[in-house]
Amino acid sequence: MAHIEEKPFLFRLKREWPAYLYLLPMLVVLLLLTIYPISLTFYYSLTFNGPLPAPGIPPNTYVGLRNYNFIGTTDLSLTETLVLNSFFWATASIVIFIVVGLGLAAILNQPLRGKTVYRTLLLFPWAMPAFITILTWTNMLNFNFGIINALLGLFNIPPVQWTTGGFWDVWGGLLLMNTWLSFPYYMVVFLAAMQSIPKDLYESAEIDGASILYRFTHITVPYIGSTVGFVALMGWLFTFNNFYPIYLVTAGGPGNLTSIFVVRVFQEAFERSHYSLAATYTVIDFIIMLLVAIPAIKYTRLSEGWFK
Amino acid sequence: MATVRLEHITKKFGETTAVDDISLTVNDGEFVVLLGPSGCGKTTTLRIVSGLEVQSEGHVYIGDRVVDDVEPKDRNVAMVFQSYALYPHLKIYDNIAFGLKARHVPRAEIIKKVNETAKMLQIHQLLDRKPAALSGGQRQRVALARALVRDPEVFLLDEPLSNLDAKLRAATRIEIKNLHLRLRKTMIYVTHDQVEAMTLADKIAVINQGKLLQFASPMDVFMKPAHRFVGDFVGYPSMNMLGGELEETSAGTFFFTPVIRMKASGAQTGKYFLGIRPEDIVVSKSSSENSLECSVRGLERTGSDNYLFLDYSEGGIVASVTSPDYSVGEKVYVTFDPVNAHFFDAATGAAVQLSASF
Amino acid sequence: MKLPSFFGSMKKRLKGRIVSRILSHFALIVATLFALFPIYFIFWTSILKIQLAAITLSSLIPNLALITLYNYNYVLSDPTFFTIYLKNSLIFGLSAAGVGLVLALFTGYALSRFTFPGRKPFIYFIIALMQFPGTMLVIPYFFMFKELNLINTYLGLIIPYSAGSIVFTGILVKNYIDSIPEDLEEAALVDGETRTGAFTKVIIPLIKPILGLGILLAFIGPYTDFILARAFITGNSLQTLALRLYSVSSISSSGGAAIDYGVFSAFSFLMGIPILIIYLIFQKYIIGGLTLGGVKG
Repeated sequence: MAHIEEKPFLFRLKREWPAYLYLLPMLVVLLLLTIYPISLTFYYSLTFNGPLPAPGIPPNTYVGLRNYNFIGTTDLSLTETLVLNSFFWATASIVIFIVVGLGLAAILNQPLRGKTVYRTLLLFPWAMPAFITILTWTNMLNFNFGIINALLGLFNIPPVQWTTGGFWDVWGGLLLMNTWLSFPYYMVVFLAAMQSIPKDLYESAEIDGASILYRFTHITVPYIGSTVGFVALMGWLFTFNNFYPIYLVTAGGPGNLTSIFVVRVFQEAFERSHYSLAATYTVIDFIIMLLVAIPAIKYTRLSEGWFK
Repeated sequence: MATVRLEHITKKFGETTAVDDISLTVNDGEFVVLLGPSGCGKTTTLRIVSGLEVQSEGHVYIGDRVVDDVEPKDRNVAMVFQSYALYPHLKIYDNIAFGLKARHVPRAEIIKKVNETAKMLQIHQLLDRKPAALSGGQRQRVALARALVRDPEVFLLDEPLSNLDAKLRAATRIEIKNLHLRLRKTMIYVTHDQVEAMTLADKIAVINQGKLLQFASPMDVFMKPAHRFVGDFVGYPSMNMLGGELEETSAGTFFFTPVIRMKASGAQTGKYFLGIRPEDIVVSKSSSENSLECSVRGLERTGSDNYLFLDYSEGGIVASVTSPDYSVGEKVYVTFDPVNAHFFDAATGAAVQLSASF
Repeated sequence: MKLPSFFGSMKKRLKGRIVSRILSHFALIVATLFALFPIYFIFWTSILKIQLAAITLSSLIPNLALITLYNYNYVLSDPTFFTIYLKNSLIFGLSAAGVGLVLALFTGYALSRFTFPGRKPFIYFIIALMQFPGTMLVIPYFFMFKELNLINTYLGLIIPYSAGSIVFTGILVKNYIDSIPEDLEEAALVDGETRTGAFTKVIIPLIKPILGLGILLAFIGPYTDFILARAFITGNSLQTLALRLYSVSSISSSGGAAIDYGVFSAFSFLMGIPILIIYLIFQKYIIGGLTLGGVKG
């Protein structure tokens, strides 16, 4: 049963076949509720149901790559916007999460009075269901009577058009909210990783005269580097297609300023009944995800825990 | 009848061969110790007997039955794990009763047997506790009890004492020996500790790099090591090994090392190792015939024994001495009785019989 | 004159420590205020009778005189809160968690303890499938379930909800089983158990904590789902808390004329607080599990 064993195929099969029984329910679910619908999505991306939107009727006329052609030419600028926005949304969020998460974890990882209290209180945003708190944020970011603008007024900052303003206004609001939603998770994961570093490493480095910075770069970073990398990768992939924060606050607006793939797909499908176009964008999104995820998993050691 | 017989057992993990063509027979009621350094294949051999691991080649017999295709649960063996493997979610009582319940033994009998066994091992007052509340020594007893209560044909013990401190280990060693003397069950015991092997075993199987090097009584293993590795591994401090050559000369056959010359015969000429145990080395402060001049590098005092580390022109020698009255740098003269010398083939490591004299 | 310089450096070191301690507390207090403010905002407005447009900074200052249970009364006195919204959300959440967990249990065990041929490619395959944006499965699901006449039925939602969490909880269970010594199962095998017996009598009792966590995580998805519910639920009888909350929020944020903002807050609080409490109680397991398993953003 040891995992390191590499036995001949038949030999392993003889002992290990019950595994397939255990996996059977999962395989059925995957087949019917993941693989089949994904294939269906690919199929829809190659079909069309006429020039007019037809609510509730699946795309049924095979048109080859016409949809891809459409989003690659006529609709190219929108496609580019979606790609750039999705990348920006995921990357900016993750950078902020990691900076804030690492900073707070480092602070909490020193002997400090009341740090358990801080830690528990800091977990609150993460423990409330995001769907609920995002709706509250939508109200708090309201230009006219949102409480965030009122708070800014305390510091003599003019009100910001969080949902209707320019690039940094709107993205700033979204990133601020997303930070609030996610930083606790990154903080506790990094803190857990830091706490697993043997204390005597720091003590011996301190005796050797290493500065705080040197200790951070030469002990902390190598020890928790793989955790940070793994969490960043997973977080990036998750955020790339994180639907609710953008859909509920800006719905991709103003214009297409904050439109990302998932939001656009949902709108095309369920607000405009453009199912085949939605499916085509979905396929593009899926391919981007695979292009990022597979090399990251294959060529780094970040996710080796999965294969152990 | 619970004889355990291994026939040409080989176990490969991918490219590496963990067990290499081991054959041995453990007679009914015998206590056999598999002894060797870590990673030598002794635990894998034990696991093959238990059925937890399946051999790549060869056959395992328990009693008269081939058990190659028999699941562990049906082999009627009990195993004590190095980690004890106590079920953390079950009370001690249920831990001990686990195997009986699995075999659908009537409840009344389970209660009786568990209590008897617990009393025998003096853990009956712990039956209501969980493993986490027990000390290392107590857990070890529970692990033993769990094996004993089943009254299996064969007991398999995988380094059962290695997690105990030195004092407890010595005490438990004696208890295990007494248990075996009382029950007279077939036991196979894996350890890397030669003291455990010497004190417990009826027979020791010395294993290195997957190969069985010697299978004999403890005294034979100690007195007549069949292989250079056995001589080196068994006994503390290790046997002194001096490389040399058996040569034909006009004056007869001689064994030469850079510093020793002995008359020797009984084997082909070639390269051999001369092995001599530290306790067989005679240390004197004055030179005598055939003595070798050495200087004292260090003295290790254990209280009862003193080990003298010596340098001579070509290397080092360890001697076991009674008097601690030596100082570093002092010149001493060592010699030994050729009767106590062991010879091993330099190429194969196998022991060879040479009659040697100065 | 060595002594004074010795004391001097000690004082300097002490001073440095005090400064860094003050800075640490300052940073933590700012972060805590940031973290708690929106939750305080929900809580406080839920016990005020106020419209969104009327909420100012001064109205957020705690004031016992303003406290009212009007909003909670409003929400809870409507029987449909229990008979429709809460009931449906619990049906979807609990059944999905139950089904998903059993599947995850088998999957996790097989992936952790067997070295069956194809194991590694299978894990790769699962990871690849995980990259398909779950949100977007709604489109094929919609047509699949329409074909089966399962739109606007309990079954039609329970099936995709159960499937939704299986990969994630499966990996969670796998990682937890990985941390249990194999010796324990081997001891059970030698003691006379079958592999299945070792699984049910040794593994399952030992992974109870992670099963609790798995249920919780699998529950929250359907409990707060908006996307699938919005696409699948057309009638009144299947409405969920999440759908209701969304409609309350859009009424209250559109200027707040018709409805009191506090009603929305009270609704949010009633829906979210039980989850918050469970999360905080199980935070140790959740963090441990998530470090290996993936992300809840």
